[in-house]
Amino acid sequence: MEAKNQSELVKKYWAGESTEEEEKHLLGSDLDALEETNQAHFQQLKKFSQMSLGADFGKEIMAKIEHDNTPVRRLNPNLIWKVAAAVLLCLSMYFLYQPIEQSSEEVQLAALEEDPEKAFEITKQALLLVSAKLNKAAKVDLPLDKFEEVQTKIKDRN
Amino acid sequence: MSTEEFQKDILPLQDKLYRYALSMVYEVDLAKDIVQEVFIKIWKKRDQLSQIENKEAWCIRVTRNQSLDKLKMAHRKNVGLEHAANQFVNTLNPEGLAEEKDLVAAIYEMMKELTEQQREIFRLRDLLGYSNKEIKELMNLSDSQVKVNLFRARQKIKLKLGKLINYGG
Repeated sequence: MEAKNQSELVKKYWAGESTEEEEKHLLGSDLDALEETNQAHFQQLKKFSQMSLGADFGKEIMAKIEHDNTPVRRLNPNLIWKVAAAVLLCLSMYFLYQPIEQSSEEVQLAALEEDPEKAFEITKQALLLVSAKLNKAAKVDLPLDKFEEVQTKIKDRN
Repeated sequence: MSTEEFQKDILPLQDKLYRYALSMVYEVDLAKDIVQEVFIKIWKKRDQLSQIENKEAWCIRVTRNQSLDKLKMAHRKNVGLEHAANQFVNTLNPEGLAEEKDLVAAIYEMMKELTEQQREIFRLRDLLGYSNKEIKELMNLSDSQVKVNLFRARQKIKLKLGKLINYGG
């Protein structure tokens, strides 16, 4: 009866139809009763399933773990947000206060405002030059409105 | 996770993880190293363990990844048996360990002609005793994929065993 049951389990096993319980039962049965091919196979499976690291291995692991009982480093989510906000703020400040390259026109205007009298003289000479070359004057784009503004300022001051 | 919880929930998996690693690298000492490293890794990630539903499946995955890393590092790619002969040097029971070596060699021979998927299913089912349902979840496969691959793996092994017995005497 046992042998019949065993051979049926072997057939089911090779057909991939046995349950894990049946396979356990098969490995626990008298494997010497099986024919050579099956005997070799199931004995190998049985021996492999018994391979163990032993109790000492577990003790060594526990000793290592207890020795390395350092607290787990966790990243505080609040801290992450704070750091992200600080970085964003720094970047914003950097870009906000970046000196913007001034155009030559703006530099000229700034010079006008810093030393209006000198600028007036320079501009006056420039205009005389421009008038001397009237045919080219149309192409020159001078800030005349600013010039007039500065001229008025100088007059007012005098 | 406390050391007590680790000892209770994780440490009992040591032999299963060892057999799993052994069936991937086919070297006793290397498999032991892998399990040791896996346990240390798990311990270092102990704060995440409470969120993991299936701890055993997670440990198996960590062991698989660790074994694959070792294989890649050593360029062994499942041909580690050449090194297996160098194992078992410092032993008090050479006879018993030689038997272990033969067994590992036999398992290697048994599995080497299987496809990767067949090998993994055979490993989990026949070497570690997982059910088809557990394998399905571990490998993200369907029921039929597990069944078909297990059937094909066993058929290949049966054929090979038959040849070995007939030709090898």
